[in-house]
Amino acid sequence: MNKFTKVAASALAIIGVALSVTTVTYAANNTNVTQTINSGTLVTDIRDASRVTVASPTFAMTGTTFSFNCQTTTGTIGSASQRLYVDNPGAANAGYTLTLAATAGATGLWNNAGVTQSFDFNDPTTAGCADGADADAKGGQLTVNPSVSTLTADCSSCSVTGITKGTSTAYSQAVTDSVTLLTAAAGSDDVGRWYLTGIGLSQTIPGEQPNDSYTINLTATVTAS
Amino acid sequence: MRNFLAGLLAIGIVIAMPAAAFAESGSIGGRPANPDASNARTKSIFVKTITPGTTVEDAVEVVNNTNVKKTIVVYATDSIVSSGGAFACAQAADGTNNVGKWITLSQSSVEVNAYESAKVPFTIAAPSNAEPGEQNGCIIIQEQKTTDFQSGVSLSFRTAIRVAILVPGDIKKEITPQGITVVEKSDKLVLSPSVKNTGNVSVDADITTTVRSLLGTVQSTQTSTFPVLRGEVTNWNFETAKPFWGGLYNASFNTTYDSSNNFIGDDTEKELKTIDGQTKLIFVTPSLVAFLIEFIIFVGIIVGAYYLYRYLAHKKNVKTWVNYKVKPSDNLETIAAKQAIAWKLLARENNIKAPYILQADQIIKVPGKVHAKKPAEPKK
Repeated sequence: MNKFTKVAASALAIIGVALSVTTVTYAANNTNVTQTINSGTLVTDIRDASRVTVASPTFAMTGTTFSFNCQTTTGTIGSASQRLYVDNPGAANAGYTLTLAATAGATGLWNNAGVTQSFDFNDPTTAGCADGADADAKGGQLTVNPSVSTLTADCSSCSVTGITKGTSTAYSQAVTDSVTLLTAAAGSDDVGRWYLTGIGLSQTIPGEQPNDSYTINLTATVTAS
Repeated sequence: MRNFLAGLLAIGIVIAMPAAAFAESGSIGGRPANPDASNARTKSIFVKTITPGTTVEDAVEVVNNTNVKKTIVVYATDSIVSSGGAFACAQAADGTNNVGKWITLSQSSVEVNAYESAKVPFTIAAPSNAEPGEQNGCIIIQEQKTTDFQSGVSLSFRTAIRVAILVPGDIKKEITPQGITVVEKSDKLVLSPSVKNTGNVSVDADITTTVRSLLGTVQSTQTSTFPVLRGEVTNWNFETAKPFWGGLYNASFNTTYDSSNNFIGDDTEKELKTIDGQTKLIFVTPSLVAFLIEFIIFVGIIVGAYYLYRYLAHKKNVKTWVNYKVKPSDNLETIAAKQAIAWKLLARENNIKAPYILQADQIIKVPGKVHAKKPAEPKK
């Protein structure tokens, strides 16, 4: 066997082995790869423009100065960097509602840091300028206006069809303790992601309210219908 | 060289890690743990029929879709009615007096690892004096959080699962249309129909709003299905594009619902009932472009009408006016005064242009009746 014959024989042997191995590989190729995608849940939160959850979202009201008279400050919930999101990843198949209420309930108040000064968010007496016959001795009323907000669908397969924005509403103790921001009909997209920006806020502050920084915690609740 | 590259990679990972760790994504929520395969609604809400004095068991699945372990609070509340008649859940601070009180959860909070879920069993005990009809409550899923003082409105979030309970007895399913309001908002019309549930169970109602021209042509129509809670007046804001040309239109609505005794999610043997609501005549302002077009057309019509009038008048004058020979002392004003017409009309009908000079013996057309001043009678 000369050198050329030896090389040719070796090459043939290698090809033969390779072919046989290939055949075995084909036989073993029947493995199935499975992947399960679990359905998510209906949720609401505030996210930034990159859709990252904002841990402690706060929305400032316009600054104001001490006044002997009743006055009004305004604000907005939802901005380009703090969007109020609702995700429905197939979890609510007959619509949902998004509502906003004071976390402390109907007896909640705007409080300063030390909770030594406060005013009301749900006293309708003279449009919030005076204390009425509710449970506390504070005046003040907060109005939430979702009708001026912008609702945006944030996924390729969803739209805002069948989702209605709520009407401008003032909190009134034991009468209106919750304001509807969105109502999604049964026919709205079962799989969708939406966000609201520009929900109007207007708070009447009774006259002679001491100057200080005040806060109120509101809870956004999303509920499947 | 290899060690150098590995070092660089390690530094890169260390730098990137905190950003990834702090950029929390996803949210927490929940769903019924044991949905009824024959009722699709039970995938997202609890639907129970409970005889007074009995107890049922179920569980809620609490889901942590974030990338970190969470302590999640679970509690029951009463349902309340939000503005516009929408379903809402009371706050924990409000306490429980109704269905929230009937629900007992096995635990008030649960720790759930990232991307995992946990089941929390609960019981619902309907009191022996529970009123027939539908009663609603909520099971709330909320992250346990403490917040620092921050001036302004701070927000918290929670997911609520409706617990709809039918207490058997005399069931009345009935809704009545209330009215419709229409508000213009820039380029949109907001139609707000309202209906009242006069029964004792909630009704899933198809609400259809329609805007028609006075000739009956449908400009826009929308249909959506919403729950109408027992005893409540509910309204919705349907937004539709404003008719381009504006004008008078009729806005109306109707409602269709299953009037059978089927409870939520039961679609067997439906008895559909449609009731027409109010029709309201509305005026819609046209869009700016439409307004400009309409204005131009309006002006065109006015100008056209004026010229048509002049043309017809001229045609009539040509037939009825007679020839008049201009005297040396005449001018347009004196002749017009004698004819009791405006000199400009006389000039126009005879096609006399500025400077309106007449020649003696020139023949012009005049109405024919010369109102020459009578000479004053001599005084006696």
